[in-house]
Amino acid sequence: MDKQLVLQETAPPSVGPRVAATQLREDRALRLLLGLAAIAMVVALYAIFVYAPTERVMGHVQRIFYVHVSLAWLSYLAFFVVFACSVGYLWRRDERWDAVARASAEIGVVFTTLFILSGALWGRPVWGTWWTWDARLTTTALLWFLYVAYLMLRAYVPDTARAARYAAVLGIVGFLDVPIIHMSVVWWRTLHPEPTVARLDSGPAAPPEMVITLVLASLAFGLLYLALLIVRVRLERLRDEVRQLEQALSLRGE
Amino acid sequence: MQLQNLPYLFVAYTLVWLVLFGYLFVIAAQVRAVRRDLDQLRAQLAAARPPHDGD
Repeated sequence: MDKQLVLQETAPPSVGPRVAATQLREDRALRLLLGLAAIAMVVALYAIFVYAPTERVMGHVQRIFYVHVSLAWLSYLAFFVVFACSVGYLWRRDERWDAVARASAEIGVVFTTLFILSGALWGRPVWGTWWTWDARLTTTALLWFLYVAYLMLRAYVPDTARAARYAAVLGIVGFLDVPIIHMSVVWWRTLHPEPTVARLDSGPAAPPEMVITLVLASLAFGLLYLALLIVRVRLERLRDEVRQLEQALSLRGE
Repeated sequence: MQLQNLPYLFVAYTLVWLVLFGYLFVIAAQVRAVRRDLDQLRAQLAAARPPHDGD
């Protein structure tokens, strides 16, 4: 669909040949990655709706599990990237770290929104409620608010260097919520079930077909995350370039 | 239970795909808009550059 919108962009004639060659190389790599993500998604959808067995008690609605858990894992990965890049930015003060952190935070918020919504759509028929303030759901809601605050901080603090510093601190502190979310179902009695696949003390409790399907879905969403991250970081880089050129023009009295 | 909850499954997958494609579409549109701005600024900068700059 919009893949073409991203990829048909070729280097404009006004840039130098080296920049143009880099842009074209990046476009090719991105096209390949999006193609791989699309193939992986088709394979994952086949596994989810055809290969994976139907759960005995919940029936077909349990298939929400594959997209819900995959998006949750990828959100944690996205926020880990924010954490690592925020540490990198505070240590080196290199804007490239900050650009990746900013991009990953936005994708993490999109994925978290989707895994909360898919959880609500699964919870309604199985638990009889869209939402409940149990430990897992509450700590997840907190995660969502923390990273929405991160994005708002980036948007509303006019001094970009100061915004990057504040956001880096929030990105590091916010990530502390991720292990709490994972352990919440172990530490407290909750309505949300304990992990069935990512269990620290023993192997997966789910049948192998379900585990394989979950791995395939997670790989597909992982490739999509990577492609989105590349496009989003490129957008940050282009915006930085626009800011630099605007400064150069204002210095020339334009 | 097997089939009566199918609408939830349908809505969950539809929602996920719509939001993800929508997000990709929005980013792609933003990239195109920023590239347009960048080209205009480069052209303005080239026009504003004095001849003794060496270009």
